[in-house]
Amino acid sequence: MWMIQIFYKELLSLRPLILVGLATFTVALMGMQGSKAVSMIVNLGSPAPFLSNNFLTVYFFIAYPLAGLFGYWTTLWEFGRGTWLFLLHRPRPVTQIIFVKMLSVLILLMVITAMPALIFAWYVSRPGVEVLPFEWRFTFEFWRFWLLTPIVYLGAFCSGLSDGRWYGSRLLPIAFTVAAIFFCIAFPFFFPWSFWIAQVIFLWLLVTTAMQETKTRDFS
Amino acid sequence: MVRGASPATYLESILVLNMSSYAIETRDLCKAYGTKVVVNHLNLKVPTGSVYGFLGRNGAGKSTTTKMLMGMLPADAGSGTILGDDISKIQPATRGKIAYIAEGHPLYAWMTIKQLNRFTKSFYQTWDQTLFDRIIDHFQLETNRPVKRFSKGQQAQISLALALAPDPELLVLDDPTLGLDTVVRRDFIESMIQIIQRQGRTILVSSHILGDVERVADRIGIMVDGVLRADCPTDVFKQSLVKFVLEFDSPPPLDLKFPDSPGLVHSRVFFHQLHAVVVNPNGVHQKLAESLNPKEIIREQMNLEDAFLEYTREKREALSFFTS
Repeated sequence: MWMIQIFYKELLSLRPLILVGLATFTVALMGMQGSKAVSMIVNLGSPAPFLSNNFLTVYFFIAYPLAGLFGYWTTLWEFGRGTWLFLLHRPRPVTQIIFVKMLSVLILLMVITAMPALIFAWYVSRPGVEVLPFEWRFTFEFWRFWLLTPIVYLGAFCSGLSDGRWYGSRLLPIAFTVAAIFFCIAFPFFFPWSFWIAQVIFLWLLVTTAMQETKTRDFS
Repeated sequence: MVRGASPATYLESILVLNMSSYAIETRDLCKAYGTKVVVNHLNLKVPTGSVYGFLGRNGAGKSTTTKMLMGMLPADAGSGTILGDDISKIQPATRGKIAYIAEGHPLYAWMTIKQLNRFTKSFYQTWDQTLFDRIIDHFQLETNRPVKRFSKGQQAQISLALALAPDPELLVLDDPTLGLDTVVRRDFIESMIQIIQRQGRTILVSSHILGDVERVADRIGIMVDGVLRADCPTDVFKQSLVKFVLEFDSPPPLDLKFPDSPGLVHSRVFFHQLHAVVVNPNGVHQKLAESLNPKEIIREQMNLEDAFLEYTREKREALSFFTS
């Protein structure tokens, strides 16, 4: 029950970011489908949805910053308002509360970032919309990018949670995230299996770091 | 069992032992931020069932201590227990028995009272919804309004309702009246006394407003620069501190001091008078006062606020009359 309440709380507190994220995606997708208003600013038109890199570029520049914002918003906001003291005094282990909070936001993020791709894929799969026949396997590369979104979110979450100076230890998780994303995107060209192993290792490292931080952090 | 003692006496002695246990106890608790020591070897003992006023000026280390007691801030050294649990590893079950109202009443301001109630309630096995509703009704708070639309005083009332609904054994209130105006503060304190006092419940209330604590606390602890300089029953503190006012015909020399003696807190010249604050004055102090040949000697009993001010005014490092 309390886990559902935490999920609901995070959903409500992230409403502004969710709306901004979805609105940005909508505008970008309209541009990709030839909306004149958007094309006047940036040309996002694509001859083959998902097969050309346009959708991945859009995703990279919207979803990853959004993931970073989610991570910082859910940690720094609580510090700013002093509400960690309220939340963490509930009769549950601190690590459990923070883990559920982290997981709730992650689920929200993954749903929100998957939605535009699913809607777009459904739209272009309709007969007559695109010249090329659409196949779902075209989206494989997108899902690989989508699976990296948690790394960005967790990096920002660890950074927001950690104690230290902004130009020092606090930025370490972000530096780690950048390196991890680069590794996961670049190396699978040579070793396809490395993506999955690296993904699991990086996620495990970030979750462990966050949980470790909860044990020593000054939440006041 | 003590030889010759009846079983009833033995049971009584066990009860007395349990009653004299401490809800909160710290041993040499320390905290520093950089080079500034905020809490210095604190040995705090809050007896079970007492209302303990934790006093000190702003920056004395009260909030830092409270946060350490609640496990929100790791201590640099020392240890402590709260309801028998180590403060660094408070078990969820123990946390359920402790109500903690942090300084400034941090709440999710965008939530309505209804949402906050549902959110907080979900964590507890026992939740007295009737009590919660009664407190909210008592303060005439509208449950469909977001918390941010309420005044500071009303937010304090919401915090109090949320803290009391799980029927806690121990209440830790960190400066609950901070930021409230005089009228709201008085109302809040009076309601608090009415609502929270029940047999066996321990309350630790920190404050820098002495008047608030004076009406609630049966025992006080005074923090001065991170050190506990007094820890005794409120009445003992008030009654033990006496101000000798020595009236002279002409202004005495500015460097005139009351003769050094056991119990002397400090003395200072004030126009035609010499003020000397003494703990537990006796005949010796009276004779020493007379030896200065004043026109008149007046003994003044002080209220808690004056006693606190006089006690913490000077010679801070030497104050240790009320600690064991």
